[in-house]
Amino acid sequence: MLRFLSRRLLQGVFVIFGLSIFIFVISRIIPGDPAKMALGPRATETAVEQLREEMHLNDSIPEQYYYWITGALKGDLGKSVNTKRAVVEDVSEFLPATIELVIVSGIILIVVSLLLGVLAARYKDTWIDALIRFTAYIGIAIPSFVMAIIFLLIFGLVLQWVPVLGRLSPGMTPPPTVTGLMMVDSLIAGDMAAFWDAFEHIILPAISLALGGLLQEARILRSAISDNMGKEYIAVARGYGIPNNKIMNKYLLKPSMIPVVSVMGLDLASLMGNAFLVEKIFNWPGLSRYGLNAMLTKDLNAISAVILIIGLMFLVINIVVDIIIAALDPRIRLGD
Amino acid sequence: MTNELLSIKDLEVWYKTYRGYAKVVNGVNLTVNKGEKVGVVGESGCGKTTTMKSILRMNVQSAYVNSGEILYSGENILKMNEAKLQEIRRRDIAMISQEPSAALNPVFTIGEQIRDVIRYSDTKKKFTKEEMQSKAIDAIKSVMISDPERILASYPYQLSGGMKQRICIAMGLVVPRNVLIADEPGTALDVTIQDQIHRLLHNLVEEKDMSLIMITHSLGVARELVDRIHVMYAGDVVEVAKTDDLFKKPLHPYTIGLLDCVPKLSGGGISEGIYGYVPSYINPAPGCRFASRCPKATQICREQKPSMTSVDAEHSVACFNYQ
Amino acid sequence: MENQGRIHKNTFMKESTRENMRMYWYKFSRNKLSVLGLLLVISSIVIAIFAPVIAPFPQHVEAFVDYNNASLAPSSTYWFGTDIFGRDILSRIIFAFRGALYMSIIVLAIAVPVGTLLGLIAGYFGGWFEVVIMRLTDIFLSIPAIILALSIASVLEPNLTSSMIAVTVMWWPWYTRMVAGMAKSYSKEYFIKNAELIGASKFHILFREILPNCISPILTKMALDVGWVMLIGATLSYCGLGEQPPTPAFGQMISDGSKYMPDLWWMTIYPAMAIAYIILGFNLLGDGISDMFNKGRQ
Repeated sequence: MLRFLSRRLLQGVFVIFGLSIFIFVISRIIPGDPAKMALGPRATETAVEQLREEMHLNDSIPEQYYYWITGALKGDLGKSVNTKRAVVEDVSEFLPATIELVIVSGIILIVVSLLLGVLAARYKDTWIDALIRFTAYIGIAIPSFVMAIIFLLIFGLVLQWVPVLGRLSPGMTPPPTVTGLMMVDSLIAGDMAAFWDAFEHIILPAISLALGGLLQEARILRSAISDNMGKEYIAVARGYGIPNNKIMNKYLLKPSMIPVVSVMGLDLASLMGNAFLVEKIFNWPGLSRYGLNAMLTKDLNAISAVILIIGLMFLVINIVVDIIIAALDPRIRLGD
Repeated sequence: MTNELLSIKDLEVWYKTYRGYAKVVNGVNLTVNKGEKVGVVGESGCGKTTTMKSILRMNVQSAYVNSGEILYSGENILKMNEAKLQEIRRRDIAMISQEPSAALNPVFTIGEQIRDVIRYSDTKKKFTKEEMQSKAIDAIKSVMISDPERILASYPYQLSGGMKQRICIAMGLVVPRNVLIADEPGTALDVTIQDQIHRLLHNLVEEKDMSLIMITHSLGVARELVDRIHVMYAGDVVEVAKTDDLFKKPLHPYTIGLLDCVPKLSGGGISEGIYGYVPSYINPAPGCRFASRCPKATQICREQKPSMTSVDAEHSVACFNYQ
Repeated sequence: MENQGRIHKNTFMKESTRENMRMYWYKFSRNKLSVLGLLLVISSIVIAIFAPVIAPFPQHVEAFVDYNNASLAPSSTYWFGTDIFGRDILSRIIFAFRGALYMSIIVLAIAVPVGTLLGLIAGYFGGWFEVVIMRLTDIFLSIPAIILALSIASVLEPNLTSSMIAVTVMWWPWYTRMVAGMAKSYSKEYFIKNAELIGASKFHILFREILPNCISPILTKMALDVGWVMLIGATLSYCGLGEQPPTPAFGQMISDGSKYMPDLWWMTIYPAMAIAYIILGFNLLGDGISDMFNKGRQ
């Protein structure tokens, strides 16, 4: 197990290193002069030249990479052209909101998908199963940004069940920042009103973010369960008179979880990708909205930083998922 | 026939396929007496396993029983309610699966799986963990495995095929039962191990005074282990006789062909075997299913299905040549 | 005699091919949803091909302005209503099918062969080939596809070609990873060992022995991927990084329309339904294909 983990970590470090080269290459293939873009069209020739020198743009590409990566390791990812601040400062301001959204969304995804998957398999070929599968197909086919728009419209604007924009209502005083996660901070401060308000704000974006993956997993779990239903070991368990719900909850569920968890890992990780759009639509002040703005304005340092941070989060999630799979599957845990 | 324990009457099991229904079990009759060892012999795919799985209602969903009954102590298992059936599965009859690798759940330890069998064998009684463990250890020991604690803590993939086969037997015997159904045990293993498994099974059944239904494709194996043999061909039982009678005086042309395949010490080389293949189960021709391969087939064989006829008290055959 | 034998063999072959087709169709059509998927896909393709004939107002896909008929609700003339410039939404949706399908086809036509080839090489040859190729795919798969595509598209000029490049760059690694896994396990099997022993060329082993065995998972994945590529394409275009106006694209239409929600709901809802229609079709089709190749349980 330990060897498996350390190998996985080493691989992760390598991947992040590769990713940094990749990001760097992308940020340098951009047409036009980054220094000129940073200073705007009215900048003087000397000012541009000075900034070029500062940004090491006159050095060779490997040298430029060296400066960039050593800076990144020291926590210096350069300045944002948009906010005129250090990118690291921006990231630390916006990241917690994204993490909070992704965590809430991830919890919804895991809990609801397992519930629906088991339900569909248990009531296989009944109307419950048909309804869940039909919803799953529709849900997978509708892009998450469309889902977000529809949710915003129905529950936020027409029914007005929940507030829709931002993390807290305008009149609400945010709790003192401890973790940066609004709901956790308000609990720490003992401010239940703020907690509830934050919850109401996060629930809609979190659901729209989780929905696609959730339905996908429910479907995979259902089909894994129904595939395994035909396995000899289930017939044997049945032949020994093991009660039906025991077969369902133990003999069937555990082996069926393995394919679900591996896809779920990918989906949990891609929550961060879809967060880009959901944050935009719900005006959620997170890293993704910041990143998307950076992309649309070609704010290179900000783009690189956002991709790097997301790559890191992606890696962490994947390692956690690998650990869970290892816990479920003895073949992986004990090594062949 | 007062000591008749289990009997299958005119059982028909059909599989649903893309080309229609495959009539895989075509009216099988079979009886097992108390303490008797019965063999069911036939080629692969002749419906042996399907017939046996019907006894505990373990067949896959695409297979369903079209007609017939399976009586255990006078009660029809096929019409039984769930609770009664579970009682029989837990305490009376066990089936040892053909593929030990597929029969064990890959994500649970052997111990976990055996303990569940013990746990549910008596729902009124609450077994302690120690009781279950010691029963499991005894069962593992009884199938000649040393180091039972280690085996119980292992996962199936960590064990060899022979080991897994023994564990499957142990699982079937961990609770005392009246009938044990063994589906080609050891087929996937090499001959010496297979032989050990057969001996083991034979001794355990004798020791515990159980009835045994042994499914095999080899008459040779059946001869060593069982008292009475049912020969099956393409979903039909074609001949039933005491083991000795069958070998002395085989009647059905298929049985005769099968006997030719059993290697003899004094024989002259390899036998010719039986010409041809098992016919299709979907829209089979009327008449005897063996007719297309039968050296003695006549017109009537191709038109009508022969019924089971007794030639003497313990020997019956389904063939027009003896009617 | 010999001649007769050959004829016999040929009819036998034909019979078995027909039998196979029948079996495949049985497995595919057993799930009625797969048949529905096939219908949705065929209709989408027909719409895309015959767009200029089908669209009631083909001229509305260009920079067309008719303020007299702007922002009209769906009616018998404009089935799906008109946008704020007075353009027929239905006609624009019909043409958007073209762009979406075109993009998927180009992306997969490049990404699948490249990914498959690299996968075959990595899986069969192993060694350094495997290390280099597989680590490279790891890097590409280390961040969400959509972010990678967004960042690539953002540094290029915003247009359809850029978004196709962006999506292609991030799509091949999935095929590489999948094919490499299969090729690796096949390379240990006897039929490959036998081919090596009788001196078959590397080319023959890769393309005639291993590749045919990988075809069914590749096809299944491709059918599903057509939908996913469209989804990513729509997302890029929603962010303003795909096809530029006035040429219609689903994401861009939805993005424009969402500014006028809920009053001009038809500007958003119909394009959203159209993209759901086509993606649903390919998803159902993909599942059907996967059932079709699924061995066992006939």
